[in-house]
Amino acid sequence: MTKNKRYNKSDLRWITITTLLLAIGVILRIISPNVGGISLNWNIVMYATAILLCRPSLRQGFGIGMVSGIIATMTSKAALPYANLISDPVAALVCALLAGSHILDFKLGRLRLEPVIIIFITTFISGGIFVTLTKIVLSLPMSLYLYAMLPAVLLVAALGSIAGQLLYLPAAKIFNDDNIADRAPFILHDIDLTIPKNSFFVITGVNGSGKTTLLLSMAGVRPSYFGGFENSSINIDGFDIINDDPALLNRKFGVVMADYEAQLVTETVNDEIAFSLENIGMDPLDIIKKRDDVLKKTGLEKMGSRKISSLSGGQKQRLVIAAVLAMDTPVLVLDEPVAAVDPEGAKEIYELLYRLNKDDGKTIIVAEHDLKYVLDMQAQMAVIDKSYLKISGEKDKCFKYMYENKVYPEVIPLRWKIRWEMGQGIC
Amino acid sequence: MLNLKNISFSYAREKIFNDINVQIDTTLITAVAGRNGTGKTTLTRLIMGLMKPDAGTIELNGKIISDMPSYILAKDIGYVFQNPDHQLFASSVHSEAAYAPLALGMDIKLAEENVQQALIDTELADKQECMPQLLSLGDKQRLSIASALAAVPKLLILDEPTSGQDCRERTVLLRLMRKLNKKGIGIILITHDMDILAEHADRVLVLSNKCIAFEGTPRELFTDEERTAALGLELPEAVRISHEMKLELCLTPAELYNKIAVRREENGKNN
Repeated sequence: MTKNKRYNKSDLRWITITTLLLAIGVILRIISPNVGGISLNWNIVMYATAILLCRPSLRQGFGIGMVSGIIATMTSKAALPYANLISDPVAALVCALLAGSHILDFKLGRLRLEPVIIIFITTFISGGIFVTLTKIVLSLPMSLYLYAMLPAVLLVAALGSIAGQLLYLPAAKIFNDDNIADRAPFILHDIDLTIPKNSFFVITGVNGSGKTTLLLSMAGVRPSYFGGFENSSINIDGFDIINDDPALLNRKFGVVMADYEAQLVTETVNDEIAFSLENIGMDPLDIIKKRDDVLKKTGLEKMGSRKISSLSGGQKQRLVIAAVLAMDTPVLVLDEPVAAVDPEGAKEIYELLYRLNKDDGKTIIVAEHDLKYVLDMQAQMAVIDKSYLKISGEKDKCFKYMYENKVYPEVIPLRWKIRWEMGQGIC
Repeated sequence: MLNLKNISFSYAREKIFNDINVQIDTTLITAVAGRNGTGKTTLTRLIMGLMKPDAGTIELNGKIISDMPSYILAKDIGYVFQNPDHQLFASSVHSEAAYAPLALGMDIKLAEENVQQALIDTELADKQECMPQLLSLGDKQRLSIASALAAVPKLLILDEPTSGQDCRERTVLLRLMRKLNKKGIGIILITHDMDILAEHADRVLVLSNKCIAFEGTPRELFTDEERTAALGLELPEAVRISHEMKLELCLTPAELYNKIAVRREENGKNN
């Protein structure tokens, strides 16, 4: 998976910023004065500033240059306006390369000099290509090119870079350039996990440590801000989570999200189960058979015709599990399945998961804070802290590690702590 | 003192409360427990005036509030939903917290003071300009408490405030709850978590079977194991361990540690 890619195709921020700045550039270009045949090339200043603000990929940078080139060609009064179609994309490409690599990120005190340098280079490249093409196509004399056109380009580049620097500071403030660093993609590190078939696996860690990201990526759901894995290998029930096709993972891993309400889409219990089965084109008679089967397994057999809105939290949670079961995935992934369920309901859900694991041979993976429900089970554990996998394996080993290294010690069950602190054997 | 007298309430066909009578001391932390569907949330909505009882009256400090509209009651009673995402809508933490006092017609200067105090209490003072939707879950939950606090309520109702939070966020939240109670704000806490109930509640109401099946202190509640189970409640971990170790009933881990230490000393002396 690509790392450190700041903007995805789906992220529209770079398009918004570029469009806005290019539009302003056109207006400024029309109204700015022309002194002695030399006027500021606002188009270039604007797209260079836009590229500095959003640091797009090279392809995106080239696209920005292309748009600017078309605008310039349409609005330019120069002798050979079509030269813009070459000069702008090339310069924008160089600009995106320089901005993306951060090699010119110099500072003078607190003032960042990157904009002034990059805009100068961009304008010079763009202007240089433009006048060179003009000279060749129109066969202008060499002396005019050397002593008038190139110096003019240098002058425009110098003026443009100063204007760009002045413009960049307020623009960076408005568009919050600094926040981009905070939005650096979330990367999971050192996740070396092997979860064999038919195991019951519990993942714990503080909120924000990466549990949900890990669970979702198991099912092939990789959120766009997720930067991927580093130094990791994950093998669950024979599937390579990092390299396998998301579409395959999606068919093999059933997911129950933390907010189960978000997963309920129909009006009645029966419809909810049938929904996903109809979507994969199952025969209606088979759907009914399958439906009755999963409702029985989850203890909802008498509630088939009930409206979903009339179910309790625990029943809704079981219904979601039933709907996922109907898809016959070998692995079930559940994100905090009992967070909003009363203790009795929570127990029932864990008993259900336990049966599914033992009787049906499902591999069950759960993210959980409240470990009291899994203490009596033969479960394996993993602890994630600040996006690193700290330890995985037997519960005892994990608790001991967490206790000794102060990794999320709050979650360790009281009886374990008492055993270690007071030397009392009560586990 | 919050006084519920002969309250009956039913949804369309289903009876939820049948003639319940209870007094809630509004200087204490009162926990409301019970199975899902026994009407814990309904009870608090009745108190809030969001729904009206079919029969009976509710009095707050001697004043009948059950026929008052909820926007007047909102000055005295703050309500924090189980899911903070259901109640956060403003574009910054500060404007979120300032919404309630301004909507209730508080003077702007006074409102600003209250907002600042509420944000300091909830440890959100340095996040005033943040967008509520981008906060962590623990921060969101404390922000929804802050926006209730900014209206300076006498009574604060927390509906499952710890659900979905990790153990660390939970500790911060419970510490905040204790602090607010010390400041004189009464707390009604709906919770499923018996460990929290045992450690933090002064009084407990358990709802079951359309009425209040138990009213008393956590210690009284957990002394009777059979009743606790019949009410659909679990024993707190500390209570269970103290049973297993044949110690006196311990409600909190701290108490348990103490008792174990005492017993060890005694054993040491005997040997």
